[in-house]
Amino acid sequence: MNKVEELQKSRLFEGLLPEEIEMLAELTQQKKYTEGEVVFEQGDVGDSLYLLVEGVVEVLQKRSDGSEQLITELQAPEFFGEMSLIDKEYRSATIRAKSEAIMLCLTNENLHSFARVYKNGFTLVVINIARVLSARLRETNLKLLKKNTPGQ
Amino acid sequence: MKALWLREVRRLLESERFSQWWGRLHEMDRQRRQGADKITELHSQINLMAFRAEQTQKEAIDALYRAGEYEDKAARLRAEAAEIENKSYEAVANFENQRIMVSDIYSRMGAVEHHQLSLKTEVEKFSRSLEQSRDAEQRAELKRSLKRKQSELAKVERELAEVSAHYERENKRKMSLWEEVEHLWGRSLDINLSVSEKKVRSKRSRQESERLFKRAEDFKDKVEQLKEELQRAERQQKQLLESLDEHRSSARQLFGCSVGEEFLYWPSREREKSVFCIPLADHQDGFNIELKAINIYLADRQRGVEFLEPLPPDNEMLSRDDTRIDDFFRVSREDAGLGGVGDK
Repeated sequence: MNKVEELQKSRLFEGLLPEEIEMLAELTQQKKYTEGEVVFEQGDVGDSLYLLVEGVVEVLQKRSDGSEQLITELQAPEFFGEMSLIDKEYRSATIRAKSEAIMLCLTNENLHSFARVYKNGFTLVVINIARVLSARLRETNLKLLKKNTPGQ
Repeated sequence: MKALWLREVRRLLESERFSQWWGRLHEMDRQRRQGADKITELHSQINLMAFRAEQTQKEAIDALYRAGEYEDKAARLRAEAAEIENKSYEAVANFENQRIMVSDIYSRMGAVEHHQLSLKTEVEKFSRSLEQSRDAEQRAELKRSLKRKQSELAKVERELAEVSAHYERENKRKMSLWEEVEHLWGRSLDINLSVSEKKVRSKRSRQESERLFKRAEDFKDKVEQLKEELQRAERQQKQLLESLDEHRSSARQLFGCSVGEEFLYWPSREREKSVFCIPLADHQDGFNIELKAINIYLADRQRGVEFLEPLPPDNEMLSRDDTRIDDFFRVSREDAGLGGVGDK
């Protein structure tokens, strides 16, 4: 797998310079998951984000009765796990491979190495994460607005 | 140990001397892996052969046990056959006595029949004479004689019926005794054939057992040969590991570095708290990043390889103008294509 090419496909690393992408490629680790394998569980301590290279994963949340609810499905080149990098909270959902999946994993500590070397590159990564989180928040707001507007 | 500049480390890694050292290390490591694979393979073969020896010996013992069982069965059947043979002699004797007795009855029956025929002839003769005679005295005499003969004939006919019935009964018994003789001879034949079959099977099982014992011994010999081969391979591997350690340690003298089991280290002159780490093999897992052999990585002196970093870019690269963050703040909302519910 060409890690540089895979990283370039992701909106998470939009605007990064080739040397920055190259360093990130060195800092990411390739991980393989089989169908049904859990990448991480809701409530785990999060210390890394994942970039999907191949396959599909399910995002699941536990209901109060302990059963799982499917929130969404993600496929390449989407990423997940970025929220714990930002808010340092526990994982908000469980991620399970729906098919065989290949991912690139970037740990908090390795991202810190990147930040020490490429401050602007790191800022752009954070901006990109913020953009995604912001877009998700807007989407949620819209849904809530529609739900609470009479006649909708 | 002298701290080096990055360029010095790079030059050293590109030097002919290092290339030779690395080539030798690489070759020795290849031999080590090959040796380790061979030892694993030999262990597997020894276990397999030992298992086969044990299994084959068990089969040999089973075959020997079966041979004994067949022999026991043959002996039991032989004893049974002898008993049946004795019974058959007795049955033949009984039959012979019966045959003589039946023959006597038959003769007696023949005599009685003959007597009956004579009497019938005489009765007919007296009857005809009585019909032809006109003399009263003669007729009276003939009547008395005829009555006597008829009475005698009736008695003989009763005797014939009794003798015939007796003959039928005894002849039937004779036939029954013959059937018993034939039955005993048949059983004796079956058992004798079965005895021979059991004897042959016993012999075959014994041969099979001997063959299996020999095979088990061959496997045991093979195990011993493999164990010797394993000991040789382990001795060679030990020597190779010692040479490998020695060769790896020679890097300290040759290149002035610190030598770990999997890395070479040089203190960095650019960064006082850092060391340059050179992995001696590729590592996909087990470290915080994927490592390539003979690439240069940076580590904190205290943490060592627990946390490795790729080399930072050259200073020139960092010093060039980078306006990306400024651009982000300069770009208008419309151009950025942003805007949401709260922004409208």
